[in-house]
Amino acid sequence: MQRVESKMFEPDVFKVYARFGNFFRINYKLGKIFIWESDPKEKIGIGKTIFFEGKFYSYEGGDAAREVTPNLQILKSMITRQFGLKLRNLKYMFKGDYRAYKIENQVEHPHKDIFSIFEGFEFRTVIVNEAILLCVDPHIILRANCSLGQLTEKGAPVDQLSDFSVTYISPSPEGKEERIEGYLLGVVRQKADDGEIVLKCRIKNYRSFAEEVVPAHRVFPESRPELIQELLSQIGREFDLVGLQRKLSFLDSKTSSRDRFLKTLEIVKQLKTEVFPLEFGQFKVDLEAEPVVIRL
Amino acid sequence: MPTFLLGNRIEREPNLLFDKSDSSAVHPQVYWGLRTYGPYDKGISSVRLGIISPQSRMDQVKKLIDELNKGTPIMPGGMPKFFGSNLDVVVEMPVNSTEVSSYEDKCWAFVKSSDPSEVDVVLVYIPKTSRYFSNTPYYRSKAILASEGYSSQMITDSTFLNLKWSYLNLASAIYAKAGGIPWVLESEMKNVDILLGISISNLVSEKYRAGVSARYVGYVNVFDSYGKWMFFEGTAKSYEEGKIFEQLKELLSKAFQKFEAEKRFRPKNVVIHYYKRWGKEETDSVIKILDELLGDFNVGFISIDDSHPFRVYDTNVADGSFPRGHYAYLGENAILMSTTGFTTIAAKRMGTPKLLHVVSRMQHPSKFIEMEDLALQILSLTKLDWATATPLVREPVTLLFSREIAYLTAVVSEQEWKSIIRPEVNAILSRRPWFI
Repeated sequence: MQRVESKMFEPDVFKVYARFGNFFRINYKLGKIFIWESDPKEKIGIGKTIFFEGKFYSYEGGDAAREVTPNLQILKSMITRQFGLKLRNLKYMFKGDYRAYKIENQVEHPHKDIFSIFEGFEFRTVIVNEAILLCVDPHIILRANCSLGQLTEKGAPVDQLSDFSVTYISPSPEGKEERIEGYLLGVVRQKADDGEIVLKCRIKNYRSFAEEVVPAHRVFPESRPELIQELLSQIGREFDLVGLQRKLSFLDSKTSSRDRFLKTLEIVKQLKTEVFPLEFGQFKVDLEAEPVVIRL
Repeated sequence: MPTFLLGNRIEREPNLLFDKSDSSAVHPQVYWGLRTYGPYDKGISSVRLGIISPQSRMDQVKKLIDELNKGTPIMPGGMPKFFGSNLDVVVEMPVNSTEVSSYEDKCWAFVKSSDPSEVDVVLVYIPKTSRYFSNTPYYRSKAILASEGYSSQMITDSTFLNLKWSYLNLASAIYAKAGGIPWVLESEMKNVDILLGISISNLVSEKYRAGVSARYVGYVNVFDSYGKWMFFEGTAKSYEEGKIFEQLKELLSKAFQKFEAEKRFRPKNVVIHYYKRWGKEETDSVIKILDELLGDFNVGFISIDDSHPFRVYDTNVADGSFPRGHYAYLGENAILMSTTGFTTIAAKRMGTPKLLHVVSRMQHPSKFIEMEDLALQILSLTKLDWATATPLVREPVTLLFSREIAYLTAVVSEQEWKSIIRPEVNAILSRRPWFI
């Protein structure tokens, strides 16, 4: 019987037990928590507050706040928030709320003008048996780098660009740019005021369900391997992206679970040294590097 | 001191029954069960097939059907031995190209020139495409044929690349779509009279719909206590957001009425599987509706989710996978269950098991199913996908069938959905798993 290589963790849970979850206990020194009557970000700054079940909680107090005894859900929420903020401060990028990666963990390939691929991780915090656990799982993150306008310049046929999900950059009412998701109905050629022919995308906005027309250089394909693979073939580039993703996801390995578990331990070791302990207010939060043991 | 989570295991693979008149015709594996005993329901002697295929592939398709009838080394005795029936081709329709529009034209020509009471299943040879894309021969053919009352079975080049096992999967799916019952569970699931795989608030295709408000549909698959798929019901019309009560009432009324007519008893123990998290509005609505429909009942609201990063490993296993049938408790009413980890019934596995996060959200009026019985129920239900003889299926059939229909609802038009649900089509399709 082969056991997990456990050089990283000497006093050795791996020699005694065989079944593990990808959950890691979060230990904390409890600090004070305050409930605020309204959003206190103007008074105490951003990143110090959570909004939980209709109320604002912070580890910082003030005139309009009173100290409360937090329940475990509030603590979990506060720790999760601070964990995410610390990751961002350490230059981690996010895809969604729970998938993090670093630019330096980019996987090399010859088509970076079209897409990037990163080795990252997905996380959650959960409460089990009155303990707060951090769940960590390796995750491959794909990012589209090329707008539909650029794709057509590289040779993608305009009439083939339809029927897939896209993200487009749109000016928000506050004057900032925001990314909106939608469904691409098609790409059309339109004459601009100066007589130049420009490409516009007809998009069904997933949020409002309204149809919008957006310049093609502001529209990016959804970062899905099947779609990027298809777009690569449309511009005549032969590259097995799906195969690369399978390899990076341990799918082709005969010891897939074992490999994923080892990678998980490696990520957690890095988080423990790089991200933890978290310190905010009077809180000090640390992470156990050993995973939870499953006892049958 | 490590942190511990409790776990548990199901000791034995649930057995399957392969003959409704012989309770000894049991086996834990589909392949050996069918090979030894044939199908559960031996009432179909002939399956009438229509074929839609590129002309260049027509001979290949007919050869495949011939081999299914005559048998192969993996499937000795072919359809007659494994399913007690023959495949008979009654209509052939060649397609001119592999473009989506050619398939659409040919499917419309097929339905206009045929009668669904004379064709059990339409076999359609299509180019292989990713499920990610909606405007494909697969989805368009499936939607058009279903909207006119035809079950269809798609085959692609990859069917021919892996013929060894594809034969049996194909044969089983065709038999089920023709209305046959290939197998059921040997033993009844504990404290279950009726099992519903429900799905509500599924968005109808964006592309084929005008207007700016989202439209939704709901549907339910109904199973009996042996896990036998009985029928499918969908909401008659698409609707706007926030009409949960009305759609649930429509679905549940139809489901219980039909169940009672067929089984001749009113179910008391109702278990509902949902692949999303149950909301309070949904559970309250269901309880209110069941109060009206059943009066005396127990209902269990179960959510089964796999969109999470939770994993469990077993380093005693060569590949490190948490064995099939093992589970870890994430609380009193929640488990993480492995259905595709190490098992003696299947040698080949791929990737790390994606565990099922099973949560008993609520049992009303009081608890009537223990988590351990629920774990066995869900493992048993992974063995009832009639579209595959593979011993290792990850999802319970309640979840799997809901997902298959969700893929389709996302690409069909409102008009096509209405056609699929209209009474004359429903009379044919509701008792055939046309969506698998």
